[in-house]
Amino acid sequence: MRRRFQVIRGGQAAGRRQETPESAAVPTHFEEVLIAHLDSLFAFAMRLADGQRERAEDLVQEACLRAFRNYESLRAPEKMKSWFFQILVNTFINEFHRQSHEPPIIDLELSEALLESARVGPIPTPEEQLFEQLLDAEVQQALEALPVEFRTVVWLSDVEELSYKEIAEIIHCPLGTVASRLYRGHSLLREQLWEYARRRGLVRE
Amino acid sequence: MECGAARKYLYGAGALSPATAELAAAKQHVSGCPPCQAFFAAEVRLSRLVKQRAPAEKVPASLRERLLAKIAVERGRTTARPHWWRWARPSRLALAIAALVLMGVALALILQHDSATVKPKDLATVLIADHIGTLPEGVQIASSNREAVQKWFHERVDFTFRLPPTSDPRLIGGRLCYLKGQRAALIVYQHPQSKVSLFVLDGRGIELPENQLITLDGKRCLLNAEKGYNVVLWKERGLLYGLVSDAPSADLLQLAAKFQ
Repeated sequence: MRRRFQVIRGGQAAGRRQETPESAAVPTHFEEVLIAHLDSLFAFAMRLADGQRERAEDLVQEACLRAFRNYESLRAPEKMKSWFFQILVNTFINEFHRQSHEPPIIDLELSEALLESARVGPIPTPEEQLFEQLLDAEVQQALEALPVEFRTVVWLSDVEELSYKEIAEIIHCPLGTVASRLYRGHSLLREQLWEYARRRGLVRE
Repeated sequence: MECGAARKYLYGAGALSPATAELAAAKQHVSGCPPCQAFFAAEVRLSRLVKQRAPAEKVPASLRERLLAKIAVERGRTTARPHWWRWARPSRLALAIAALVLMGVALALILQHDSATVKPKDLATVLIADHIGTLPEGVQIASSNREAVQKWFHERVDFTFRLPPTSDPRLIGGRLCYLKGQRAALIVYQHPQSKVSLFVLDGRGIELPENQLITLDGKRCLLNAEKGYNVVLWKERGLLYGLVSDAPSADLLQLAAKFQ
């Protein structure tokens, strides 16, 4: 059994530090790059914070200040976007999620049987058309209803279009876990969307 | 290769590995297997749906300003305490004395040459930092009445100026600030989406580069952009005016044009 986001590395030591002599070397374009990614970071923080705006703002502010104070830990400036996301996740784990009493999730490897049994047979209405008829709010609710571990991976993969490797670095998990969470996240999402479709009478049992 | 194995391989980390016989076998299986093709197509459709329907939240302007202000403060702190500081611990008293002496010399020079040349680029940086650090509620006079705001400043600074009538952006008020070691006026407006700061100060010693100025209704303006903020500078009757905001520069120029 794994703890939720069980491995915490990278930004952990960074978080507590108040004195920041090294940040004098932060290049002046730091703010420009930060502003370019700020909407994405805020939207992701909203997902981590279960849609609580004030909490998401605190999270983004704290993460961005940590990024500034720990700029020297950025090894590849071209990966600044995923580095910002990594610090945001670390901040969430260290400062905002520590006192969570939610039960831990169990990370399963992708199983051949599970993948083989995926529903792909004939359906009354093509899935794409069916889901298209759902409201934005329903899709968003289905996304919000995912456990945060799955929601995180689904968001980083589908919305931010980050690679498995980048996501693995951000959430400190093996590649296989990223794939597994993405698949399980999609499956749960699909189930919830079907449920909404059924409630609205778009699907007949 | 069976469906489950091919899907696991292509869905999982195997898809990232360099070309192997396993990868080729998985791809070959999928290319001839309609259920597997439907499986992957459904995944792609769902990803697309999430991307299209995901809530598109924009970061609140107040958070962005607060964040930039905090970073500006941290930059100031680190500049004041450079890398070598920690190695200079035994000499800090001596350094402090030296700093005091230097400050005295600098002050004397400023008093002798209060019209020392200021570079517009440096001035723009200072104005942006001041703009970021000013919250709308941090004004000393809160009023939308331009006559009242003008009167308040005229009792406190060594020059007079006139504010144009404008409802967009809306006048909020103002406060005193210190630029070039002198009192200057900072007037705050609210644009629909952004805060706009207008700085008015003694223009002596500040030369705007002629070859970079644009002409706007007979007014010669310098446009500058830094850290996501636009700055419009112009001189009029010996005063220097500076507008700063993250609003579009066209909106700032429109406001500048209203000053006669």
